[in-house]
Amino acid sequence: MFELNLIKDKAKARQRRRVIFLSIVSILFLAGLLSIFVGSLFWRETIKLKSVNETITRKQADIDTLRAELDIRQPAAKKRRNALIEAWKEDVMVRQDRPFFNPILADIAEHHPASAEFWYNDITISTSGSRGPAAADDQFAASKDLMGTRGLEASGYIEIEASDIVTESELNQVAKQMDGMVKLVGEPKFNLEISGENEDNEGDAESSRYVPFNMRAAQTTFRADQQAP
Amino acid sequence: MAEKGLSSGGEWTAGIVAIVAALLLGGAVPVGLYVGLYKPKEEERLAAQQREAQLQVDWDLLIARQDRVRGLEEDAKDMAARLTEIEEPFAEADVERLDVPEVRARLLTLAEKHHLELLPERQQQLGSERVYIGNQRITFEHGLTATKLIIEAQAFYHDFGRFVTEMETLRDENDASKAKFVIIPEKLICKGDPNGGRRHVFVLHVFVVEKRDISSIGQ
Repeated sequence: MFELNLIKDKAKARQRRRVIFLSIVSILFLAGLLSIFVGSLFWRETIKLKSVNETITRKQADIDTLRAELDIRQPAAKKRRNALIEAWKEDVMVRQDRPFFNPILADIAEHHPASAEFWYNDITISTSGSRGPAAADDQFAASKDLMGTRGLEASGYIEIEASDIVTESELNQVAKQMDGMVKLVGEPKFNLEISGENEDNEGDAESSRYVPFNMRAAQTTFRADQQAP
Repeated sequence: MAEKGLSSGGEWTAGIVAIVAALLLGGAVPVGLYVGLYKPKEEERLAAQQREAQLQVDWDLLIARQDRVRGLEEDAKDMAARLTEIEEPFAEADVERLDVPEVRARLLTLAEKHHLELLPERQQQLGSERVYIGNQRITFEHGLTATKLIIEAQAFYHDFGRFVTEMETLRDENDASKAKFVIIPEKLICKGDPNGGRRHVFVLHVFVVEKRDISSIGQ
């Protein structure tokens, strides 16, 4: 009986140890499996991160290249476009707003008082200098003068048949008729120099008199350096 | 019996302790791996993906900027074409000689046509011409240039008037609908014939507007 119990006890003890051993092994096995699973997750993340990093590197390089290229191209393109626009505006301005002399010449030839004839000794049309004296460092002064207003000075003789008052009144009318000149150099002002009248006619009040006159437009007195050579 | 009972209870205790220890140790390894390795890597990956998304935004912005730059370049091409068109009547200049030979030749022909003659004092001088170089070239504020020519002649007033009118509105010889050369008169001096005749002296200073080098504008 005693031997039988001893055998039974030994079997129970063996079974206990087996249970404990199997439990521990199972636990460790499951822990291992779980570790492998976590490791595989880690590996997957590593692979993904590597791929993302490669994409970032490639994209960053592309961005840097394109940005460097655009940093050069953009200001250059903007500068060129703006310069071309300015050039085009300037061309349009020069073609549209340039002064013409033929309306002035036509006015001088066509208009004179009804009771008088003109003889011009000299006529000078030049840049009026209305901008004032050019600054010494203004390298575009000449072109600004060229596109600026013109002034006119003329002198000559007028043959007067009527009275001075009538002739002066007619001259004012003539000045207003000179449309081309009004547009380009302003309304001309006539000035009769009665004191310079041709002395041959002094005794004969009936005959015509030759009186010097001058005409100015834009109230301009040309600078000495603008006079004829 | 009591000894045996004590022995089996102790074995169970030791066994349970061992199981709990195994459970703790076995559980610690995956948890440690998860927290210590996987989580930081995942965070790193998420940060990298965020950076990638940011780079994509930067790239899209750059592409939009590139489109704008292309637009600017297209605008510049368009403006260059318009400039070429508007400058068609302008003259080709001989910059070194301060001359516009084509225009000078044309004005000489025109002077001939309108009976503009050399001044009497110039008639004996060798090589004298009615149209000559003014030795001046001016620049406008935005790069346009013009070269001076001087016309010096003796003529009837009406002839000279016609000459000026035609000069100011010159047309292409082959196509009268097209303007040719832009000539801006600067100064005119007319001196009446001192002998009371009708042939007067005219000195006309003009500037001939020149074509630009369009390819170099704004470069």
